[in-house]
Amino acid sequence: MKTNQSNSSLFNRRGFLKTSSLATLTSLLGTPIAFADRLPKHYLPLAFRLDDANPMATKNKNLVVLNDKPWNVETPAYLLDDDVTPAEKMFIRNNGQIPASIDLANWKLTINGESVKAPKTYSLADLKTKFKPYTYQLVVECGGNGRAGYFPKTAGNQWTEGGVSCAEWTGVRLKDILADVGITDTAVYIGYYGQDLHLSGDPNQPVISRGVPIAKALEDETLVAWAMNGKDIPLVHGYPLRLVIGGWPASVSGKWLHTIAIRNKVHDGAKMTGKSYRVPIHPVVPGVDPPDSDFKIIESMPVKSVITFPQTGLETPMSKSLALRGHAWAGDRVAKELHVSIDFGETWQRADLKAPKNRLAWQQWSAEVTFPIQGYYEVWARATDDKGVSQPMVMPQWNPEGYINNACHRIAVKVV
Amino acid sequence: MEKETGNFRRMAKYRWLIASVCVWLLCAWVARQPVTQQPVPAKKIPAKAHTAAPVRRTTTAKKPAKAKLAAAVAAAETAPTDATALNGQGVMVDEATGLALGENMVLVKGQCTVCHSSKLILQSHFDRGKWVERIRWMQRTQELWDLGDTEKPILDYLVKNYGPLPVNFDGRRLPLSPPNWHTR
Repeated sequence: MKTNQSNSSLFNRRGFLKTSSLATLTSLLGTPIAFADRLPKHYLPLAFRLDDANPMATKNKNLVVLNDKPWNVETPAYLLDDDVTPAEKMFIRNNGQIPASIDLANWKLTINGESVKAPKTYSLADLKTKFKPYTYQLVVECGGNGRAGYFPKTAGNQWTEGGVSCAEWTGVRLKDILADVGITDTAVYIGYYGQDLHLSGDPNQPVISRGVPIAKALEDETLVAWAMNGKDIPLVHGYPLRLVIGGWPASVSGKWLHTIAIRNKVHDGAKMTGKSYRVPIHPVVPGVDPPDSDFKIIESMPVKSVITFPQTGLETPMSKSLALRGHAWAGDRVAKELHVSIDFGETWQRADLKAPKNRLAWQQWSAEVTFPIQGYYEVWARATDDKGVSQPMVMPQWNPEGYINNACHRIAVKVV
Repeated sequence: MEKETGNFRRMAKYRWLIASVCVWLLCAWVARQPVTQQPVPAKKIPAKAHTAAPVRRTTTAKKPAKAKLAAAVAAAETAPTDATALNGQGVMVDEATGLALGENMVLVKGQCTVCHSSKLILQSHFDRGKWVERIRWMQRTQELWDLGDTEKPILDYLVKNYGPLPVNFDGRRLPLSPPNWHTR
């Protein structure tokens, strides 16, 4: 039975839970374990595996649970206010089950596939010592963020605007690993493989295995990461190792990473094919579902922004101006402008928009608005990227799986 | 040789003691074998099941971890509860899963929450064709079994309770839902 290294202090020399551990467990439960003396050696009761028994234990209690099997949890906009998203406010998007145990000492990253000169395997220690580490703030946004705003309704988690985060990630550049491995010029795509378990419990059924074109894989900011915000990545977010590829649908940032295949064709792993993370090549009438052959893979996410202060529903005095703030991002591009409106888009006021900390991080913005008279208002925010493309105000192009809804975020305000 | 003979004599003298100790050790080993079972996930329901399938106790994120563990540690699973509640939209629902009460709810609860949470259904609003498409996709790619005779009553339930939302919508934005007003 593999156990998490950091829990070894819970067991005595003979491999049974220490009396002190049992006492902790009893107080956690509020009741003694009836058959505590029968617990097998090295068996860690579920309550100690709080992370995988309940990843919500360490999350802000106001995150919204869309699904609990598999875990899909979004962050209300006002809880995205931090410049760098902390672990307790990071959204969760899982396709399968979190791995039940992690064998840290034997964790390996294998690079293989048709387009490697020869397969190579690294331990975590290899990755941390043989390569220069880099740290980047990276926007990780679910491809389905905004899906709740599509009508007719589509299948999938009904994210509003909280399926996005920008944490600080530390790891090794994938390009440095691939330079060490050696890839041939037949390389077209990468495909990752992780340790997550399929919902059916079948260990041979892959959960998700996606990838990106080789050019995106070789960018400076594409990381094989082992730390988030300076600490171990939380189990639910991919401990001990994951890919982090900013600006594209978060499903390319594979978690619990053990293998990356260098492909000589577009990767065809689980959730790369069919309609997963794809939109119609030819725009469709809302509600129309064309055949699979008419879909293309989503690459860079479109320009988007969020108002993180104030929380929607603010009653604010007429006498004071209202300070607003939030973030803007634009996939592979940069947000160039951010405007706010209090009159449903009749007039727009330019916000102060900062540059990103590094490429593919989000950008902070702030503005101050005054209101002409007491009453009910909606405050809208609209970002524009460096190619002049803005967020739409209405529901954008409908697509059968409900991806990439980047319509403006808006909050309700009452001026009293 | 002499030592061996000496050892044999000692063994003969203490044969009852040695035998008793061996029997005692055997009994102690038997007594140490765990009698409680580790929690076992619900078995997959055969396609032909007509009666209500054993219900897997589902938990939401809001239930404390200790309640879930206490259930797992107990020697036997208790019978499924039929507790009901009124949800936020004023609909009577099964308390454990949030599924709307109604004919065939138990079939859906039994077959559809083995792999994934009921919350997947609660988020969904599809017409019959789309519900069929979802089932076929799960059968094709996610190891869902043949639902057999239960497929029609399951579809009837889903379309009735999780059918398309009656929204006349032309693509412009719906008004924001009334928020909880605050003064922070």
